[in-house]
Amino acid sequence: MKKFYFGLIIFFVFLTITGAAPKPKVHIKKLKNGHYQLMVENKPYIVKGVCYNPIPIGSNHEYDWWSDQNKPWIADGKLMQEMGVNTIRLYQCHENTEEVKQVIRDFYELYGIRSILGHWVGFWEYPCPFYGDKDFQGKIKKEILEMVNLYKDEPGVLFWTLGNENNYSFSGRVNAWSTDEIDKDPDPQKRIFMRAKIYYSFINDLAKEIKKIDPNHPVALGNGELVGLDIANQFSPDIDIVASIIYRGKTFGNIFKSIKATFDKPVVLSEFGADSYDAYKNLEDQNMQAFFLESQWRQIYENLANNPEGAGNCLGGTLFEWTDEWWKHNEYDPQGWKVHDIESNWSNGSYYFDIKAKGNKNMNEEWFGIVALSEELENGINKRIPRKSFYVIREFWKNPQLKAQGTRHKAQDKK
Amino acid sequence: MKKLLVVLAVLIMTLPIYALAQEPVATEEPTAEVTEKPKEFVVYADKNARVNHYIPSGWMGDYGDIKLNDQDMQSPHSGTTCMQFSYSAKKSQTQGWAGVFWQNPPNNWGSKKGGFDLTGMTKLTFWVRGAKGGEIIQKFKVGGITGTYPDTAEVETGPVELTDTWKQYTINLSGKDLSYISGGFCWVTTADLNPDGAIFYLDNIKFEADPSLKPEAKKTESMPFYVYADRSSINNHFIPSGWMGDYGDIKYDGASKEDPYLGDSCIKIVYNGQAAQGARWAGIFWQNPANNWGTVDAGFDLSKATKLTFWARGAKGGERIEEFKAGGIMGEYSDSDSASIGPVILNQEWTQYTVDLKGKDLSYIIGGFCWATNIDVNPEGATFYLDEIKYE
Amino acid sequence: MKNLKLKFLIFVIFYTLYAIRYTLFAFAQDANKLVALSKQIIEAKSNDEANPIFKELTELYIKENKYNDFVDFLGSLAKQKNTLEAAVNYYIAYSRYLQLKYLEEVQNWDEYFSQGNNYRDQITASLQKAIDSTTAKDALHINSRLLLWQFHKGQQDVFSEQALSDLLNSVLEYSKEAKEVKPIKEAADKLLVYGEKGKSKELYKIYVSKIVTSDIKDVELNTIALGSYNEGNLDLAEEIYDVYIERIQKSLAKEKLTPLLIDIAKLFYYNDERPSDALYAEKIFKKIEEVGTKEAFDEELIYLRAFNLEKAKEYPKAKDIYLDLVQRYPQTPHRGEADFKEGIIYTYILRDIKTGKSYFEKLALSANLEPVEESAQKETPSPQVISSLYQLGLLSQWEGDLVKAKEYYDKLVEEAKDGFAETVTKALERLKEIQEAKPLEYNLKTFLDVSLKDEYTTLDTSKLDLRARPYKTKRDAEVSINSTPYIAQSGCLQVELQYLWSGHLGKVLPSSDAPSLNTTYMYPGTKEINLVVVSPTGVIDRNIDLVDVY
Repeated sequence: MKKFYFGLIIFFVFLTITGAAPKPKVHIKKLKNGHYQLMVENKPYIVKGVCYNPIPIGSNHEYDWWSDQNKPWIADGKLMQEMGVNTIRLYQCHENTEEVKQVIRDFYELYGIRSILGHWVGFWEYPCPFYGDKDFQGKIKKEILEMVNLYKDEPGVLFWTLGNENNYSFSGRVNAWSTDEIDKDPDPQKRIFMRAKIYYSFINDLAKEIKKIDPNHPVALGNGELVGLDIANQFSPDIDIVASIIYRGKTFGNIFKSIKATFDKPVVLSEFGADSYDAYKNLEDQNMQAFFLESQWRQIYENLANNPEGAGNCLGGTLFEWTDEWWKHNEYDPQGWKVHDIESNWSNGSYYFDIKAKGNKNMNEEWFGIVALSEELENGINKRIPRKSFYVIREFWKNPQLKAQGTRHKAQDKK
Repeated sequence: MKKLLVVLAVLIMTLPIYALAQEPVATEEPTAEVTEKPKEFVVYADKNARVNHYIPSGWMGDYGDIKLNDQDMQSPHSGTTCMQFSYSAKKSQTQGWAGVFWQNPPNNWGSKKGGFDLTGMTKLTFWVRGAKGGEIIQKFKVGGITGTYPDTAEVETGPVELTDTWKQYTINLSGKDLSYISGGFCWVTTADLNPDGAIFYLDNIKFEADPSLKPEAKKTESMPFYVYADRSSINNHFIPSGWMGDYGDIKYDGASKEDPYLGDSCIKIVYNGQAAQGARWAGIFWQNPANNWGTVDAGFDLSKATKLTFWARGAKGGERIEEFKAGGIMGEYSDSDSASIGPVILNQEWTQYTVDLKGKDLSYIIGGFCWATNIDVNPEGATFYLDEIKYE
Repeated sequence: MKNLKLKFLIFVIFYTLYAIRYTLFAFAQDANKLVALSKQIIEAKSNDEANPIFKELTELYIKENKYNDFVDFLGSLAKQKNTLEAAVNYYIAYSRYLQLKYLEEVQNWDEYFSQGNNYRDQITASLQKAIDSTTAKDALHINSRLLLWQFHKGQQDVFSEQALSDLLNSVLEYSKEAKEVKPIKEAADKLLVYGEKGKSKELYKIYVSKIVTSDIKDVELNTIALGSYNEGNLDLAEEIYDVYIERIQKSLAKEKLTPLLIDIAKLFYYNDERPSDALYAEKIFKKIEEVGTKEAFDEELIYLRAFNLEKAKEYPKAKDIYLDLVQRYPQTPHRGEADFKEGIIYTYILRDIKTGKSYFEKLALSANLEPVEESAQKETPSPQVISSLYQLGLLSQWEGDLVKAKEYYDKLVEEAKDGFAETVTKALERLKEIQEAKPLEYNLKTFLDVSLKDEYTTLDTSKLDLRARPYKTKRDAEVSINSTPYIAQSGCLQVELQYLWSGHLGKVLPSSDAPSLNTTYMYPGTKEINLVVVSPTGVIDRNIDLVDVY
């Protein structure tokens, strides 16, 4: 008996010495040099992902693809696997839990692809997201925690993302919201600060609650560009990842170093990409899209951990997007959902190939997919036709060359 | 019948097939000869010199303010004559600036084919002096003619402050495509830089082939680096050329004398909020060179800067400027970073504002400064003043 | 019935046999060709002999996109005869290069990416082998370096600069001794296509100097120059022609020289359908004048010269030649056109309204005289007569002499009868303005003011380029007119320009923000197109263009 207890004591001492509490399945590891890595089952994981929303031609965002008998994700998953995709991003889960689980499982079990599960954090609630209102916060928190409870044990889940570009509401640009206290303040900069404080504090609260019930998955903060991150630094310390949405053309500029300096958390590019339509020449241009995407992926890789020339805080990205969505130009016009509209509503000079288009409107919303949809059906869904970017990224992932072909570096021996 | 069929079938199936013949290629018997490359290409040596090329025919801006004496003999740099330009700064055509382009053929603004192939030339040199000293030429330029037959390059230098003794200047053309240049040389200056006008002399303008010259590398600018100090300051950089949104709503005066913060002048901007172009917002971007929306590889290396400071005041107080920004131009050549503050409510008194640049990458900046606002926050428009805009 | 069936059956059988035979014929022809060509290659005694055979083989395979087959074939060829190795390596690389282009064109990304790296490696390896096994004296060496550079340039990688300078150096080496100039020209052509204008010019200079210093016959020089012209390389053609002309000037007599010069001028003078260099043509015309005196010019040639100068926008000179034409050949069928254009040039380009009007008067009066043409109906005046009446009316109206203006317009309507509807419509519009005491239409008035008033003398049309395509057209054919204004540096983001179009614009009525327009003309004559471009700070310039409709 004594021997038994003695052994037990030794065992516990051993445990405490080694601190061998099991690590969470997915977690962030901070390296000695300050760089970050995403660890999945104790192995470093680079997020090689796509934003996934397989709306068929002729429908809009209300289409319930999760219940589609033809299971578009089976064909997509296979194609993704061929490409080397290991992650998909889902903006928000569908109501039918079983269907959601089926999708996550199919992706993971059949193709080894993990899912980032997102939540809009009530951003699209009518008439506006009342982040300053406790009841509203409570309602949203309930929804989010429900989601976490439902799916936290799915082996295919990678991490949670809260919000998308909700921070653009601080200045009133999009879905403006406010409180009486805020409205009283005369200084507009202060008003922005107050909104940011409320929102980021709420996010932090959510993060903490999520981790209480699910210590196995990190929580990411969705943020448009870097707007507000200096305030997030103060009020969302419990967030694990910054999930940035950046559309800056060829490169991401200085964002990695900037984020490191402002809000030192690892970064996932949760939305980035290029469209495949040249609005100036009025024709499809797969080369243009491939050019931008390859350049963007190169920069992501440059800033992964352990590259001394990068910021080392990038974990990867989910490009926007897997397939074209033909409803985007006018979401209220059912006739338009059947047409691959070539008009554009916004302009971005960093996608300079077609900036000379009329009115500079060069961003073609219905052409962001790296896989095109055909009106021809194959197994009940629109036939998928991979664009050049699909192949270019596939090759890049097989053999990531950090230096662009055109840059100057020590000439290799040619002879 | 059957026999006939068989015979016919056989005939049809057997028709001759032959290959083709060849033809040899004629060979030539030339001997090699290498032509010598010229060492220089003269624009102006002396009046009526046979080596002269291009004619100073393209008078721009306030052309009524310019007088040319192309055979001034008082004290040329070399030879018997030099060119004397007198700029009165009277704004005869209300432009506020003037310049002269040397063209070939005369008056060719790109509609005629008259460019010279200057491949091999690596620099343009010229001698210039001011009558008194202190005259400021905003820029000297080579090329830049656009149109049906455009120049293949555009390179400029400046601003240049003249002395009363002859000084030589060089425009480095190494690495540029000089295969078609119809605008051989050009000078431009403004009334702001020369409020009392300017008289200056040019001589010995020529292209030279100096093989040792290497293309100019971008240098890191020293601080403080001014965007705007005074209307006539030679230290001003960037041009307030990028008018955005309702550009018809904006009036810009870079020489306002209304209570400047420092020096003799400040910038006055009147935004009338009339939505002339229907955009309901407006702004101005200071760019290098003018009108560069990321299409031209230029800009400055401002990596030594830790902040951008400027002084601003509103005519009445309470004017709201949504954003003051440094950098942020995106195009084929994008700014390396951007930083901004705002919205800002202006006071009636001069107030200094700072845009923090710590941690920002300012190695490539085309858009040196920018302000933007809209009608919703300024229903009656906004009149405001800016001064001492600088990186430090 | 049975007979018919039989006949039909026979017909079908023969048709099928014919089709089969034809295809087999084609196949057999190809296959036979292949066999024959391979035999020839093996028997070829030198690389120079083998080269054209290689070219043919390439075409044979490439037209069927049988790249892999070709590479295999080449491989087997090399085994059979190893002296061909260098050429084989070159063609393997070339085949893969074309294959990659083909895959990209048809967007066959699967093969493009899965095999792409292999093909690219094969290209660089094979070319390097070809380069290493030849010297700068061999054309193959040059061609290999050229292809290598093209490849790297296409890849936009760090090797393209080095490849370019290697290419240039080896071409210079080659040019010192070699006899065959074609590789030099090919390299220069490719450089031009890829936008390396400066470097291609250097190589062209070498090419021309080699041709020139050889014992090449004048006739051959002409052929080469013509060849360059046909390839669209006018600059090169002109350089060679310059040498050619210098030579024949020394060796030939006036009578033989002149027709040759005329031929060259006819290649370069302005023509809607092919590339032209009006200034060079005028240079040749001047030479003809120097050498052959004016008599060398017959009626058609003088007209061509005048028209050429007009399209080169050398209006004063054009006017002089038109005058010459009319003086020497007063019965010329181009009389109406020449006189009308003289009127236009004097009035709107030279600001000499008095002289301009005199030419319009001359034309207008000729309506009363016997018709110049032998037309059956004396009643139909020439279009230029009607147009000059319009111009006279317009100028009078602008000058304020409304009575005279009305006279001219009335005469116009009378003379035109049922024809010339466009001009008649315009005349009626003007008459209405006079009747209702309204001012001239705004665009038209602005154009006349800027062209004729003293306060605008500094504007000399140089700041606005106006071009139409085509300049000589049939009725109801599309004409596109483009403008390019010169805009000085300005402080605004977008200088808002207004385009004030007036004159005979055909069917189209352009808006004031259109810098160009496409139109058609339903009636013959010389159509004047006026444009004034205005910016917020004032008038930039104006210009006039003339389109002849037949």
